[in-house]
Amino acid sequence: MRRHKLLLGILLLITACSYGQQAKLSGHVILDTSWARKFYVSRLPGFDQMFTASRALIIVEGDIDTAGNFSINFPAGKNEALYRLHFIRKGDPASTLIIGSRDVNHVFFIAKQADEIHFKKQQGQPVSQSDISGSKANSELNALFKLAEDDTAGNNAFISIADKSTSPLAGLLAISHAAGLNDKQKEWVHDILARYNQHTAYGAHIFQEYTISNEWKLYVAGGILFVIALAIYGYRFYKRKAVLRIWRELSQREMDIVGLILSGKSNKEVALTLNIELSTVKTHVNNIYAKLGVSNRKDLDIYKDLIGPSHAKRA
Amino acid sequence: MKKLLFFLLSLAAFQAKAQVIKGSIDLKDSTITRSIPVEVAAGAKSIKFTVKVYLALGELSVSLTDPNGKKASGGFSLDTRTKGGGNAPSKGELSADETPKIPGTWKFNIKAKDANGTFNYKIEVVEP
Repeated sequence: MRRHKLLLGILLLITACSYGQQAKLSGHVILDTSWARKFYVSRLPGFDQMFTASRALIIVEGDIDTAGNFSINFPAGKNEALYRLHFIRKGDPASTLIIGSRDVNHVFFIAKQADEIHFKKQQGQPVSQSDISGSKANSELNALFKLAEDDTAGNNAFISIADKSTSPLAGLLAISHAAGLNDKQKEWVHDILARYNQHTAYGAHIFQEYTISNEWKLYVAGGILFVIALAIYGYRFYKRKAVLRIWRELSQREMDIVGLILSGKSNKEVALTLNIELSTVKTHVNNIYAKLGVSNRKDLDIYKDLIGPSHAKRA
Repeated sequence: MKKLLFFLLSLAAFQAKAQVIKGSIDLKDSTITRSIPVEVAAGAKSIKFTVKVYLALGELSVSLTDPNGKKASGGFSLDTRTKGGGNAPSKGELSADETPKIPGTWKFNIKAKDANGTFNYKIEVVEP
């Protein structure tokens, strides 16, 4: 009895888990007699497969009842994915795609785990213009497809849809419609993409294009920094060389005095250390100032940094 | 005589306004990459293309590219492979009407790999 309860528990858990990994599609469609009473749902792994007909893409299929109603659960993940619902005419293979005419046989929708998507097609209405409801992502997708039909729609219109979109998938699809972006638009796209999960398979080329388009900026920034660093190094190198040239113009006694001054000694202490008159120290100091082009002791500190401690020690 | 002349002139005028390319290909284990050039004059109103493909086996894709090589709207791919490693036929029908913004040589591209089936196409350029 206990074992039975355990098995029942496991079974219920598996059922609950598998239900959690599904979404539901229900709908109502009015088709004329030339159409089969079947429907098919394909999961499209990338935008490139939106117009690919293949049996391998079809994940579920079902029957449409005599009243035109249908309903099915289909596998769906945590993240949004792009799906295609299609119908076929009698005698056509299951993977049939009709594009462009009034007989267009498919409609796209976005779904993720636990979504309940509803499809409704009125009589005389093309399948592609049917109502898909059940999530905000699908209203955004519908708005995008309407815009894509407008030949005059420019890049800004598509990027704007992506910007306002709450669905990353609808946003990425909108961006994929834009082409030949200017720098301002690229920046805009960059800001939008920063909000998305870069691991999504959809729009991988968009993320790649964005990365590539920004790599040159990194190279330019790196190049500029390198040139600045080189200029600073060159400036310091020549300045140091010039200072050394001036430094060498000092006599040994003057170098000794500079060393003592740099070690923090006053003129009086210098005179005592070198055993010379204070007035002699003052004369040397004035000569040093004149030769080095400085006007006070503080200015000598710059020379201490540039010349280094070895000279001070030598002094 | 006048009527015949009028008919011939009308026919010539009509021909000057529409360029039609039609064809069909029997695919028998065919692996092909073919581009059909379509000359589009400046101010052309539209390029209409109709394609019907039944593919019993293999892969096939159809696309239209502008003179800059950019893909125009429309186009599709068919693949008969199934998840289980088998094959199931695929069918594609396309009726596209593109307003050509760029004059020059547009290309209607067909790419097939180990394809068996039938391919029918019709391209019409409506000129001003």
